[in-house]
Amino acid sequence: MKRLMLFCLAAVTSLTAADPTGAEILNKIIDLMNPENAKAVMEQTIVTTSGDKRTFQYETYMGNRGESSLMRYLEPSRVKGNAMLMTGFSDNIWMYNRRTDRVRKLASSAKNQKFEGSDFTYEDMGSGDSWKEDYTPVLKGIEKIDREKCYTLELQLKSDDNSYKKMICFARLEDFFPIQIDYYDENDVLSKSLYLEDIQTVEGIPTPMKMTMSNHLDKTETVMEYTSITYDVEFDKYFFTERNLKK
Amino acid sequence: MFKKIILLVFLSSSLSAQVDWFGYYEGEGDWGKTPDLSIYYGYNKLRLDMDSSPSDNIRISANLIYKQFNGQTSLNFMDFIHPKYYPVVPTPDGLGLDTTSYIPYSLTDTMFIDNMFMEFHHKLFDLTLGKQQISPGVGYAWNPTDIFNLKDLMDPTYENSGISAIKLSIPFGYRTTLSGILQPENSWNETIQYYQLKTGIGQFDFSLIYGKKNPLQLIPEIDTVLVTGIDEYGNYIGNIAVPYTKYIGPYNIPHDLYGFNLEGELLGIGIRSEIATHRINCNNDNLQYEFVIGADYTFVNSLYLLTEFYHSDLGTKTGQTGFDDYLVYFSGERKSLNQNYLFALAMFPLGDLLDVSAFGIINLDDKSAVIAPQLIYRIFQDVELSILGSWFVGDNTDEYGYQEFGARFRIRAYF
Repeated sequence: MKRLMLFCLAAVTSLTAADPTGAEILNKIIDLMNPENAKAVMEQTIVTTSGDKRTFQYETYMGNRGESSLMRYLEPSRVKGNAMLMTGFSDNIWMYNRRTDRVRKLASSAKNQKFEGSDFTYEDMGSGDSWKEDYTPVLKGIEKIDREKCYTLELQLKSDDNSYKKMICFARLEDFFPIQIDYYDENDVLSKSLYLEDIQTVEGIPTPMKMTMSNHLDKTETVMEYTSITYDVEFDKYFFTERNLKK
Repeated sequence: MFKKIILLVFLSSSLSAQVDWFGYYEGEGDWGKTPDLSIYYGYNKLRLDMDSSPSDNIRISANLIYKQFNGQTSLNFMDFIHPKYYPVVPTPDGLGLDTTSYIPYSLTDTMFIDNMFMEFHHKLFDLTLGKQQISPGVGYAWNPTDIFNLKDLMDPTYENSGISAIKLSIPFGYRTTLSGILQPENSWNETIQYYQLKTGIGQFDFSLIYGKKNPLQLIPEIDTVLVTGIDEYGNYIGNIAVPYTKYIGPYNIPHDLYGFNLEGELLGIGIRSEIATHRINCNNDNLQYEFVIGADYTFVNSLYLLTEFYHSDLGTKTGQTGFDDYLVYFSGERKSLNQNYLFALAMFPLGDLLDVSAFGIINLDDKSAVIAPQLIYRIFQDVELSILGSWFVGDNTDEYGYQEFGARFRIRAYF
């Protein structure tokens, strides 16, 4: 019993005055998660309820610190050439279907829907800076996650216009990089967890080469892995437009 | 056809860049039931796409379609129309009138190049030359501002055939684009012209449209034929002039379209609207209006609802529908038989592999409707199965009342 108590004391360390505030940690997390520009090829593997694995590959471009992003499918052939443009931190979403050459603007009510059947929603893919406006950050303490000391930052929803009532980010003490984010639904039930793994420094920027979103309610899982990524990229000021979506 | 395959192979081999080959196989079976008969037909379709980008600014793409039909491939157009609408025509000797109850058409195996185009992207413009997809409009079921395509209301998102055209788009800033499309015909006078200025403000995208076409069309005209008059006792009472519809021409019918599109959202609800004003110099110069207004919403539990109301002055009013209207509607010269319609769709994902949906189309003029539940099952990563049922409601003489039931089975495997 005594040993268990000692373990708990070690696992949840008390905060001191020297620790940063919740808002400061959130700012650092957002800065780390949203570099100025990025260009990458990603592979997304969805483990379905039937246990099958479905793999998608797409090229993705992110600009203006995550404010704009463009994704274009490379594989499989069912969706090859289809693309999605998000601006305003996923406030505006346009979908492009290459076979019909049709662009459709999604209403914001669709933001909380699964992105191509995965465990990521459109909102998860492009929230970025909007966390600052939508959530109040509260630093809850320090915990050990996977043998790493992390700040436990709780993001409490300010208004009802977001699908997650609460999020808990576990950010490493050493560099504030988040290694796990827990998402709680409108009933305050833990619905999903995002695990950021294999963190490598690419061009001076810490990059999670593998991200796994586990859906605790549906018992499904989606893994996103970078095949290649560079931050040394500049985009034309009209890159994130409908014109480029159709190219 | 051999030449087409050679052309595709030549195109691909002549490009120094890598050529992507992909496509799909689609098998479909359709069944329909009218009061008098049951109709079954189906097809196997292979679509083979090639796509290549010899440089960053150029893309060349083409696809070949082979479609092989089975089942009842010889059909009678009149089987889908209530006998009340069968046209009356003069007998070959010109001395009487007869009812046409048989207009045959057949589903024949076909192979063709559906799209074949080159895109050229420049800093100042985008140019697309060749047979390409052109899909103007923002509506789901109806697109009043689309003068290029025919949409099947029972399958509104199915890909359209390519349009042979030249398309030039010039961007201005972030959200403004001026586009011009020319679809060459026999002469400049008959060439279809389409211009669109699209821009966006806040949550809304807007388009102003001008379209012009001048197609050759047969014009229906009421004529009379003298038939031998017999009274109720069988006595000859002289010749009687009986009216019937005959077709004259073809003549070029100038058609101007002035349109406006809007797409955006209000309080999380997607709003889509298209308004088209037609000036058709057929028999008069009156303006005719066509519009669609629609909304969609996705609930937190993933239930998706969409509805659209459609009105067209080009359709006939209740009780005035005749065979000519069916003919014009089926030929695609107008998008509806009557004037007012409602489309509603509900879709719900049952897990990550199965979608259930149902849509309904209501003819608000004759109060007939079709209700169609559908299942879409993604069996494997690149294999999709869909099963659609359709239940028709209304009086036998109404648009959706004559057919009773229908079903469609479709499987598509991508490669």
